[in-house]
Amino acid sequence: MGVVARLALAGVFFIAGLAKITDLDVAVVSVKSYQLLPDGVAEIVGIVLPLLEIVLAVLILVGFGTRIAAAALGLLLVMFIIGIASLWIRGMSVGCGCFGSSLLAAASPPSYAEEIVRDIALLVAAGWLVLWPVTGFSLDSWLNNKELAHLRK
Amino acid sequence: MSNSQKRRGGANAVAAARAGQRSSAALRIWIVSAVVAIAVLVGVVIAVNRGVNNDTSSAGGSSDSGVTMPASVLSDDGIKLAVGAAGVDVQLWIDMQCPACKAYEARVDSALEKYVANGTASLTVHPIAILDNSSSTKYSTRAGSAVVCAAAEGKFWQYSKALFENQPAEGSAGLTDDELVKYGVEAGLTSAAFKTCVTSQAQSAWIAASTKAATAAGVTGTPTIKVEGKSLTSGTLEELESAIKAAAS
Repeated sequence: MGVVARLALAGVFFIAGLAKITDLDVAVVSVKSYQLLPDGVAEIVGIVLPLLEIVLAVLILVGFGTRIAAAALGLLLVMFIIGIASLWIRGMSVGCGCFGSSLLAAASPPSYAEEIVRDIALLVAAGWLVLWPVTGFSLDSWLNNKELAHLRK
Repeated sequence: MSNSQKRRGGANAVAAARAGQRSSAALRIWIVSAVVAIAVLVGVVIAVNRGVNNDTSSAGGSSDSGVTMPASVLSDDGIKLAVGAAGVDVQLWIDMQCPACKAYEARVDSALEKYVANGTASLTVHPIAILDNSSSTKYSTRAGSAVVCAAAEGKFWQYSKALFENQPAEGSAGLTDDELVKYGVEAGLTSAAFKTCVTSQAQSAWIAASTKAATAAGVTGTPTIKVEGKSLTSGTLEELESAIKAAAS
């Protein structure tokens, strides 16, 4: 379960981050289109976010510092959920830009409920890793074992 | 891990292991934090640099580069902007309420102006109203009608640009009729006919027909842009330029 949670989180965030970072203009516009942040801040968030997503995805994938990386991803997910919910409440129809979606596809109203359910599912995975961060095939468990072996000599 | 911990051994091994694990866990938290902080820093540096670049490019005059768009011609089949007849066919569907249309137009307007003004491309714009529910006053239809009024007087391009620049937030009441008229006056639309056309929404039937035709033609969202009948998909400036160049050669 822990490994599955890691793979799911890493995969989703890596793809999402990569899609955004390859077209930063769209990433910035999609943050601005939420109309939650002042333009200057939105510009910075639009660029920092994909970098952060990729870095955290890689950490989770190799299983290094799993607990803190999962906690950070959880925080991002909570922010996404708030953002999407605020669009829903305000009746706005911007594309969520989640996967760096093209400007040309942004007009048809997205399904907010679906997006929130997806983010909650990811949030559960992140929560799982915060509670039980040591999982198989991870750098964390490998390091722990090595330390124990070393100490028992 | 310290050497004294290692040497203790025996009965203290388990306690030492715990302590070691704890200190190495703390180290890992520091490493992760450092990596994350570096990523954030890099992002901020990129953002600041981009901001500087954007400023200089707009100071250079992206849209006011001395290129003048030809007067718009209103037809039942869209608003035509062309010099001569044989340009590459570029069709653009927009909704005045749609933020992505505003963003896309801001990104490609100088390229469109360049290719239309030098006769390489013939642009046909189809304003449609699919976001009437996003304002409390059916802004999509009202603003769409207003740009058609401007198109009839030849000033579609200037006026639609002004309305995009002042695009109201989704979920708001939109611009008032007075504001729609005011931006027209600023774009040189000073006639009484224009004012009446805007305030009476004289072109709302045109917009309704345009919306219906767009839906029938398979347009599902805005902006949609087709070069020689082929939809562009990524929304970048490079994509548009290379599609026009390829079709022109």
